[in-house]
Amino acid sequence: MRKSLLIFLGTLLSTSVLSQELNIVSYQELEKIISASPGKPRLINLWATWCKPCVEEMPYFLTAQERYKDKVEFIFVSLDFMSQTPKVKEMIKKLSMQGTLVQLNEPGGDWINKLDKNWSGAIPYTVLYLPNGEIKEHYDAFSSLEDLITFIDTHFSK
Amino acid sequence: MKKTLQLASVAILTVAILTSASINGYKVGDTVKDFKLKNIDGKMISLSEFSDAKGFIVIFTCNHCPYAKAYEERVMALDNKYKSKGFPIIAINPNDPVAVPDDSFENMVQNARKKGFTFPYLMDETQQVARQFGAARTPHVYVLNKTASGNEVAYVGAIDDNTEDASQVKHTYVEDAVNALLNGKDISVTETKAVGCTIKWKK
Repeated sequence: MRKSLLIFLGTLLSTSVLSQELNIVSYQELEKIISASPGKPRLINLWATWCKPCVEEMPYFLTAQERYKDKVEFIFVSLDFMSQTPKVKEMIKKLSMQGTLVQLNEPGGDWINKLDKNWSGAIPYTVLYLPNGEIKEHYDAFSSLEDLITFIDTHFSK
Repeated sequence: MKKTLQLASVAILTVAILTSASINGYKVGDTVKDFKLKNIDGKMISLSEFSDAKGFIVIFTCNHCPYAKAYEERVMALDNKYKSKGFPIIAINPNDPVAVPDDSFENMVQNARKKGFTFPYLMDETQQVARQFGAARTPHVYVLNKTASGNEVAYVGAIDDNTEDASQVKHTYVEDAVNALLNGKDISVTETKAVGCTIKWKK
């Protein structure tokens, strides 16, 4: 009984680590998510379901996420309109996205400078937060998996 | 030898200036270089033609981007409200139609007809104007104030603070900027940011 409970809890825990659950967050809550693992590099990808280049580069991220398992935290932030949450969930399923999946509930752009003052607000956009506090931006989409891997490896050696 | 060095340094300086202009673009207070772009009616348009204008609301926008679409009605309302007061909307599509077929000239014409655009909708075919301005996304607005020395950038950024829902807007940044210029007052917020679509540059 006890063992099965443990297994149950274990399953629960592992599914929550790599869940497909989408959380709706404010920018303040997103900041908390980003700062929750300061010792790890965190790769934050901002995307939207209608953004063609975002959706096109998503498979690179999912492959890289597998490759850097436990070493780099991947955080996917959907900037879809709040009325589009069902579409976001649909796309998460379709692309088999997992991990930290959030939809940002911020109607304005005040938060953009807080995340990265050099970023214009145009997506696709990816930013790597390093444990030493540095942030490395990548504007526009990655052209290939190698392109993304190079970006991560340049700033963070395993 | 000395001359070659001089030439080389001039060349380096020129490249540096050109690059910095294209990376940074116009900031508040900069004077905008005039341009000549094709409007949806086939005519070429320059800012200098608007002799009665007191300034302009230049907006880099396009057909396909949902954020740009979300603002189409509000852009028309701005033109309706401010053209007669001397601040017409000048909409510019900077996207490469090869990358986004929806943003082709033909589709601009169609989109403008369908929505009933009351303002020029220009095609920035070489993307030179977008680069000069430093436009990074659609929509991206520059409010220009006509002064004795030229069209000066007075505001750069978002139209307002709620893209999805016009009824929930708290700050009408562009309106506030134009109203301040019309009333000879200082603009309280001269720079904002908003989420948008990347400009699709030619490859």
